[in-house]
Amino acid sequence: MIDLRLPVGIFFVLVGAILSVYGYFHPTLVQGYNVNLDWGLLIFIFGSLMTVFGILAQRRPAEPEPQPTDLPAAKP
Amino acid sequence: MTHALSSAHLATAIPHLAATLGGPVLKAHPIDYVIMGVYLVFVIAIGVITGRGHQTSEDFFLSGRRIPAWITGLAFISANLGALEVLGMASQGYEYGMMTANFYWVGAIPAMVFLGIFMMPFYYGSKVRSVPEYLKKRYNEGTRFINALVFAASTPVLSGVSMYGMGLVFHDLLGWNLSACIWVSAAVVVAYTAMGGLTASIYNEVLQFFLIVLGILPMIFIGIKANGGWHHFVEVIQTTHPGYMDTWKGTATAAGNPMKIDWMGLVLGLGFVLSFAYWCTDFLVVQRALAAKDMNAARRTPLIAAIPKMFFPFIVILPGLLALPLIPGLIGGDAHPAHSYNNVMPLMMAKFYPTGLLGLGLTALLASFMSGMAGNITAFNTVFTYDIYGAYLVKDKSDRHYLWVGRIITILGVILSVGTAYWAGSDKSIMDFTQTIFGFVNAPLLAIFLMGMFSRRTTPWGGFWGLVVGVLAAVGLWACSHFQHTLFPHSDFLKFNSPQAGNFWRAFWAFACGSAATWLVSRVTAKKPREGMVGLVYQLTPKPPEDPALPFWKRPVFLGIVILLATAILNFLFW
Repeated sequence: MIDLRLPVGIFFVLVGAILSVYGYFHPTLVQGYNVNLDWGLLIFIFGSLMTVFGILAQRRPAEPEPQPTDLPAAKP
Repeated sequence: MTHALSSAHLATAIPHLAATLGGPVLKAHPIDYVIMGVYLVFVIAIGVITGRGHQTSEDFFLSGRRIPAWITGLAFISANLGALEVLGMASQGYEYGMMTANFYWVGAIPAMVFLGIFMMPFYYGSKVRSVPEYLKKRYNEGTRFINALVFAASTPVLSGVSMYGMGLVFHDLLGWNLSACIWVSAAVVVAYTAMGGLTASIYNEVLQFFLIVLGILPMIFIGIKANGGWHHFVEVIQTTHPGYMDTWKGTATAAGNPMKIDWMGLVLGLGFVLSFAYWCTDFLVVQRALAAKDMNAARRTPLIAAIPKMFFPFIVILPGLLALPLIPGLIGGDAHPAHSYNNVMPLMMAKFYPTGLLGLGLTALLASFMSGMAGNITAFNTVFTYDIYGAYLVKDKSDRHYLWVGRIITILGVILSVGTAYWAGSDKSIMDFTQTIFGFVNAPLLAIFLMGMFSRRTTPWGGFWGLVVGVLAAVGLWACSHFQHTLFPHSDFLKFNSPQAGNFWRAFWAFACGSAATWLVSRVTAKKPREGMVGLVYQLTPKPPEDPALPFWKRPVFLGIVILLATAILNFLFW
């Protein structure tokens, strides 16, 4: 199964990129801020972090399927 | 508090909107539609990806019980956070002020902690696949049947009503075609729930969670800035709307606060009955925890959900309060959509969100609307397939058969929702009446759950009659107050100061009737044999073993105590 952080991360990378690029070329000031650019960048960073964590989690060797009746294995 | 303002007055009070009256209030541009389009593509892609490799019906209905706790936890919040709830909370923030936060700080949070610590061991430990199935094991076939029937009737109706409500918002404010809204959203929801089942629904709910937070947060920052900073904003509200920043201060008497309810109605009706009934027994939310990968993850699901939930009043209620000075003079009832406080959230977007950010805000609303609907549909198909179709109509078929029936039932559920949406559109009162009735039909269910889980003296027939009497009482109370003018023209009997006060007290009485009937019938009917109740009743179930290697911050009891303390602090800060 795909790690959920990947699709969520990629989605926000895309949306953040669209917003910040749009805000850079069409600045609209709301209460003194170029909100599209500022908020777009923030969303972009959030999406990137999610994507990175998602990739790292996918690379880790797959955990054995937990059996509901077993106690989880002790930490090394 | 009613704002009896003339339309002319309103037009001058909202110069920003005055110009747009007649045409759509919100104007979406191509870039806004691009963002919405990206969202729709992702939603369907998630359905396709998660739909691969479903082998058993439990893969489809319960995600094969292998989802990590942080995902089920976030889905747990989102499933309940339909668009009408988001819009409704903001509008209640405008109407009643900070008191609305009691839905979270008195209602939801304590109930979620109780579910995680005390009830989840029975839900998850007994391996039931649905709430009605628990009732069958603890009580009898009849109790399951009634609960499954009420639930299977309510979910498509509620999702249809909310589909209509949301379509209306997009129609009124953006000028979209109502039928197109209904059919397109229905088609998207069918596409991903019929393919990916509960997993697709849960994954999209998590996406929606982040969208709601990231889509509405800018409104909070901009709104506070536009109000001249937080301290100035609080001062203004305290002069123009006294009591609107308090949650408890005015509740010594019903007359002393905007919601017109005293502290006892608040604690008993909302805090105890309505919230516990919804959060602890509604399969829509419980199903998310049943999808968790193990007992600890299942118990932590509502607890992890409670942490962001605590702060949700600042995202969904605060926009309504911030609008009080910024968009004054909004009214309820049959107001023009641009003057109605029911639309205060989109109206704030219209005022402050430029093209681009508006797309993000609208996508957040669209997402909460679709995932609210998908949540209802995935709960409906599970209960219908396991507890009605598999239990009474076509028994003992292969698991593969039920997997395929589940997919067909999903499509059927969405068609029923679309039908309800048009039905709700044909008569205005249908919306009020369904939301009111299904709002407290869960109250008697809580009664038989508490008495069944925590007392072994409660008998199968006690549970059955408790549920029947409680549901009849709930419907009867609603009918009495709805037809009050014809039934009791000269009496103040059952008269409440505000619709909310009425809901709280009716829920409490439905709960009380159900409890009394359960207790009485349990005195005179035969008990269930002891061995039949192991794993279902508190006293007869061994405690779930605590894994000594588990770090303390992953232990349910520790989490629960921290959450309750933090909630107490929030109550104190906004006393």
